[in-house]
Parts: sequence; C-alpha cells; structure tokens
Amino acid sequence: MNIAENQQVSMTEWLSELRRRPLGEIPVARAVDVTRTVLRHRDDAEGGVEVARFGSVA
Amino acid sequence: MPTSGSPGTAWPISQYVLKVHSRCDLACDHCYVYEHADQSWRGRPMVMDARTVAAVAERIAEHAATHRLRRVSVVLHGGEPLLLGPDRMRQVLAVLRRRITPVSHLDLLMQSNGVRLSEPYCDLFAEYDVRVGISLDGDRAANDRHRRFANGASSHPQVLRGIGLLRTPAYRRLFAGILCTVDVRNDPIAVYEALRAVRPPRLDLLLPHATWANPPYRPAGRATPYADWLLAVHERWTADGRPMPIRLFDSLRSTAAGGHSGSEWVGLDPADLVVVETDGTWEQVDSLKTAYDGAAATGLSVFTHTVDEVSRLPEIALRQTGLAGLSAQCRTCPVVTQCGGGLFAHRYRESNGFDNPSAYCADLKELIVSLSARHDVEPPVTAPVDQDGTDLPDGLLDRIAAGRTDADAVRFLAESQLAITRAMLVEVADGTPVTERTGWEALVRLDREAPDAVEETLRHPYVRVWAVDARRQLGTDSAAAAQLSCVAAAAAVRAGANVELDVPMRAGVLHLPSLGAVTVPEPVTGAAVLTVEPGRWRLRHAAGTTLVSFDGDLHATAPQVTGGRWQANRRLAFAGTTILFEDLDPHRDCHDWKAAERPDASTLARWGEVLAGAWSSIEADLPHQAAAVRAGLRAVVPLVDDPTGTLRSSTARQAFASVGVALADASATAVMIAHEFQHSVLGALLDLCDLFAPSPAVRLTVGWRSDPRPVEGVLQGTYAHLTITEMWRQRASREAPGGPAHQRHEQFRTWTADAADALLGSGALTPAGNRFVRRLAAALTP
Ligand code: SF4
Repeated sequence: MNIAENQQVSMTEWLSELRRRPLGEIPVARAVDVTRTVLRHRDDAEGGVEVARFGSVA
Repeated sequence: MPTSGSPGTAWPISQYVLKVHSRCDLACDHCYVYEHADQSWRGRPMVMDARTVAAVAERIAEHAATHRLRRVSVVLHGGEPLLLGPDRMRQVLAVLRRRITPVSHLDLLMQSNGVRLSEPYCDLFAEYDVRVGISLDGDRAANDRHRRFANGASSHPQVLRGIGLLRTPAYRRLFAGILCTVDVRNDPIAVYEALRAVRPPRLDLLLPHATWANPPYRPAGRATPYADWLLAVHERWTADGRPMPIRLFDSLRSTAAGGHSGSEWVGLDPADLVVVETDGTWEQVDSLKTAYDGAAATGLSVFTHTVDEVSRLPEIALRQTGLAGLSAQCRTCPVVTQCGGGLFAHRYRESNGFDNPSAYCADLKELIVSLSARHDVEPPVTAPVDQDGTDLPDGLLDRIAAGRTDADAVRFLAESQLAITRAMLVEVADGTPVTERTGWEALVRLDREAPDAVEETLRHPYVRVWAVDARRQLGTDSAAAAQLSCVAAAAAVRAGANVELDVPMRAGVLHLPSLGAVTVPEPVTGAAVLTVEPGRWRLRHAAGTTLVSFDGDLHATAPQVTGGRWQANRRLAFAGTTILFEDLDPHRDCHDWKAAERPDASTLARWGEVLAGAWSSIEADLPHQAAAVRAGLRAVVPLVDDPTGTLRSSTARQAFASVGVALADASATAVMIAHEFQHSVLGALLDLCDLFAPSPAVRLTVGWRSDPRPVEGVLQGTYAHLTITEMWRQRASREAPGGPAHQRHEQFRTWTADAADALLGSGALTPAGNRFVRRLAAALTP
C-alpha cells in the first residue's frame, strides 16, 4: 500500500508504512498528520499518568 | 458520579501568582491592578518581603506534597516584578526553588512589561530557569495607545529592546511569549504582523477587562467588533501557516474537539489558580478586581491558612463545577462547551453578581460559530484513530488489558513507537531552515546505508522527548532542531560511518543520545563541527579541538581523549542482559521529579545490585509479564531521592519504555518498575487507539488518591494497579494467611476493582475502552 496516495488506511497501517519507508521518502504531510494524531489530546493534558504512591502501601 | 467541586473537597491548586512588587513603572490605562474598581493595592506593602516569600513557598510545597502534584507553576507578577531589582529577585527565586523543587516539578514564570529587562536579569533567569512573558499590544501606534509611562512617553522602544534580549541565542529558551490586550481601535493585521515579527514562542490575545456594570467599548453600529477583530487575525494567521501558537484559537480548537481549553478564558476547565499579594494574603484570580472593590479577597493569609483551606472556599469551589457553575443562559447555549461562559470576571453585574453570560457573549458566540465554519473547510486530520480496537492485531487489546502483555505485544508497540519517532523527525527536519539540515541529510543517508544503526538510535526513549519539544518550537527556535545532528552523529558512530556535522554544544557538553557525552574544558555554547570516522572523532569548537579515538567497540574500551573528557552511557545487568542506565541525556529530565546527576562508582554499584534484585523479584512475582518487561524496557533514569524517604518513580509521557526511579531496595524497585512499565505500555496503546473520549469536566474518585481525577489519569492508575495487585497476590501466595502481603493484595485489588467500576460508569469510555476495562476487571480475580 502506498500511504502517499491512499487516504483510507488505518493508523496502524500508516505506521508500518512509515517504519518501512526510507526516512528521506516519507511525505511530510503524512508525517505531520501522524504526529498530530498521536499528540491529539495529549499535548497539554494534565493528570495523564498517576504518580506512583508507594510510600505507605508497597 | 463524584465530580469536582463537591462541598468540602480541597481541589488541588497548581498555579500560583505571586505579587512580588505592587508598583509599576508604566501607567497603562487598561491595567486592572491600578485602573479598575478594586483599589486594595493602595494599602499593601510595596514588595513581598523574605518572610512572606518563605511562607508562600512552604504552603505551596506542603500542598504539592499532600496532593502529589507532578507540576506546580509559580508566576512572578506585579505591578512590575522587575522593579524588585536583581538581588531581591535572586532571593525570591532561591527560596522558591529550594523549597518546592524537591517536592514537585516547579515551572517558574514571570510576566513583565519588559522595560527593565537586562543581561544580569536574563543571566539570573537562566540560572533559575525562569521563563519570561512580555506584555506588548502590537505595533508602536497600538502599544502607545495604552502602554505608556506616567509622563505619557512611549514604552515601545524599551519593550522591543527587552524582547530583543530574549531572542538572542543565549536567552531564547527563557522567552515564554507575548501577552497582547486587544483594542478594536487598532488595526488587527498591523498588530498581528508586529507581534509575529518578534517571533514569540506563543501569543496570548486577551480581551480588555469589562463587565456588565462596565461594558466593553463598542464602536457605534458594530454588534461584535471583538469577534470581527479576532477573526481578521485568525484569517491572516492561518494563511501564514500558523507560525506560532495563539492560545485563544488553540483553546477553541481543542474544546471544539472535546478537549481541554488549557486556559481560564474559554472552556469548562476547572479554575486552578490562586494569587498571593505582597502582604501574604491569598486572593482569587486577579481579573476579578475589574468587578468591584474587594472582589478577589478571601480574607485568608499564607501565615495562617493552607492552600487546602483556600481551595475549599465556596467561591473557588464554584469555579470547579464546570457547566453546573454557569448561568442558566449559558447552560442552554449551543456553544457552551467551547465558550464556558468566558472569563469568570467578565460575567459580573451589580444586581446578581457572576450569574450571567460574559459581557462579551455576542462576540464569543460569533467567534466560535465562525471559527467552527472555518475548521470545517480545513483538511481534517486524515489518520483515523481506532475507537474499537479493530485496527490492532488480533487479541492484542485483550492481552494487554488483562495484564498478559507478552514479548510480541511489546515488540508491536515498540515498532509503532519507532514509526512515530520517524514521523516526528520528518516534521522537525521539514521545519528546519535548509541551511541547517546537515544532520538530517546525514541521517537520511545513514538510514539507507546503515538502517540498523539508525533504528537503534531512534529507539532511544529520549529522542522522541526531544522531537516533541523541537516540534513545538519550530519557527521560533531553530536551536532546538539542531539536536537532530546529535542523533545523526550517534547513528554514525554506531554504523562506523564517515560524517561531518554542525552540532550544538551546551555549556561545554556535546551529547550523543544513547551513547554518552563529550565535555570540553571551556563551557562553550554554540555551534561546533564534529567529524566522525570509524574509531575516531574530531570536535572543533570555540575553545579548540577535542579528539576521541577508540578501538572497535566504543563500549568495550575506554577511548583516548585529548582536549576534553568522554563520559559513556553505562549499562547495568537486568533480565539476563543489560539495560541502559540513563544519567546523561539532557532530555531525560522530563519526569515528575528531577533526574539525579551522574552517580559515583559506589552508588552505581548499589544501583547494579538493586536492579539485579528487582529483576529476580519481577520474574518471581510477575511470571506472566516478565518476558514483556525483558523485551520492552530500554532504560532506567535515576531520580533525585525524596527528602522524606518516600519511594519515587515516574513515567514520562513521551519516553516509551523508560522508567524514572529513585534509589530504593530491590523489592520496592521491582514494584515501581512494573508499575511504570504498565504506564508505558498503556501510553503506547493510547497512541494507536482511543480508549476514552476527551471529557475535561469528568472527574472520578479513586481509592489511592484524595482528589478526584481525570479519566485518563484513572485509566492509567487502574492499569498500573492491576499489575501491583498481581505482584502482591504472588507474594501473598508464599506467605502465611493474614500477613502483610495479603493485606496489600486486598488493598490494591479493592482500589483497582472500584476504579474499574468508576470508569465503566463514567460514560467516557469508547467501545475499545469499555472492552479494555472489562477485561482488566475480570483479570483481578484469576
Ligand atoms: S456564548 Fe454567551 S451564552 Fe454562550 S456560553 Fe458563552 S457567554 Fe454563555
């Protein structure tokens, strides 16, 4: 599959194509889309990861 | 469902504005401090004295410790904070850093008019890592409309000089952005162009403070002049390719997609900010001073009241309640989730207080409706995000959910992460000026000629941390992208290839990610030239030349170095092989707590014993997942010890397969590694698949923390606790009934099961998230 032309592929398929393509041949627009998608609501989100609370319980 | 703002809840507060100086050297006529209804500043001391600063620092640290806040930000404000003078400023910064940094990641910021910014000040801010925001209203004509000295003279040239300092390479990282107050009499395009020209890393466009009692200025015959003004800026900004983030537009875009607004101006995010006046009194947000005299007062002081007591005040609690705290008109408004009723202060009317829409209601509505229409015609993000898990390999979601992540599942996630890092590098390289792409060109060549060496380098967890950071700074700070050369250099060393690269040196150090660092005798900062040949490098920098040569394997031999020092990244025995002990990479300092400095030989030996022991414990206590940990975990970052001896561990959102841990015994370290590894696995899964819909107003109560938590936090905590439950179950099985391991197992099992129930009842999970949490809950009773 060619991610440069095909708009209807899944994220997982996109990533395996990005993994296979030489770095210099990855279309910038696709790279930007993947990055933006991955960082979709995680850029500024607070409280994503719970701080480990081991002091009294582990 | 329990939500924020329930009576008696002490909501955690993470942002503090400190009025360190109550006077200003400008006399801006739109300033709320001096020109609006509240005149309380007149009765206050001019500067915040040392005793008050110490008391504030103590209160913040105590609150951050109680609520386990990962981050706290303190904004130095005024008046004009630079009126303090560098010596007093140093004392303030030293106290805040000394008391708060050991407890929580402290972001120090300052909001200034920039007039008095000087090199000594910038050096001080660099030393204490203080980021500086400058107020500037646009071009000279726009700025002079309000921002003048008391004698009427323009402040524009002085402010530009201050901004110029913040744009020099030495201080660029201190520049936080520009805050511009909108005046519809100014030409929006001229204002935008003038602000863009100084290349701020972020721009804030603020509506001038107004209420129903004191309505906004509106030219005759214009119903929504502020919306029109902002829409004109938005159009030009979009046509320009959005050269810098503009917070209001980004917030509205985020809330349109159901996300956080990240600001108090729009959206339903809970208010999370308190102010401390020069005399140590706690106040609510400053903008309230536009409403009426005393509107921000709480009657509490840092000398007598804790942050928890402030946070429990009904007027603060009201602002945590999202939709429920808004006026009836707002609650039924079609754009309320985006608008959130606007800034709280702007809702004031003498007859009924704040129970109104914003005095800017018409403008906000028009702005939001017009922007949504524009977003609709923009190309959507084309990579579809899986909501039901069907894009993932068969059975992967179920295995991961049940705490049965195996080596294959981890390898699949690691491959996805590698692909994402590659995408990020492409984006960063594309945003780098053509003349500064030697690193990228080398990397592209090496990717063809020596793909394994590039792959191994890009798998280093902190490459992505850097890339996310560099991506944010594209267009404003090309220095951030220069690190790409260091990535290329590390790949070239691995490949035994020949390259010559322009590389960035910081304070005499050149860091090669995942390999180590060259330190030269002088603390030079700036560009250097690195020539890599098989077994030999030459680094030409401002203070001379450094040569490093080694035989064959860099890790097997101690290299010969002239004109400097080489510090190799070290590896420690773990899981029958070795693991990277990352104590050099500057990007490792992205965990909740400060990364520790490189330990001496005896401490390193202790780490070696602890990690070896931790692995034995993971093998014994987590038999179903040990193989996944072995296949997946790539790095351990030592963290600074907690001063009270509490255990510390952390996962950084962007650093897949690396865990931050403070030194502890082997058994506790095993639990911490297992816990953090779960976060890493789930984080990687969330990159590929939506398990929950963004729901900023939803907060859930969990057993392991006193404060209600956002959905993603609860999901992450529940998933990590699944593994901890399993570990204690295994430990309990080797112990007599009723022993401490049994109790801990029961405690974690109850917490995890209750949190899973809360998630399932939250209405926030996607179909994939529902399935994930159901599997997780089922796995609690094997
Ligand atoms: S647009 Fe007006 S009515 Fe709607 S939420 Fe905003 S302030 Fe309230």
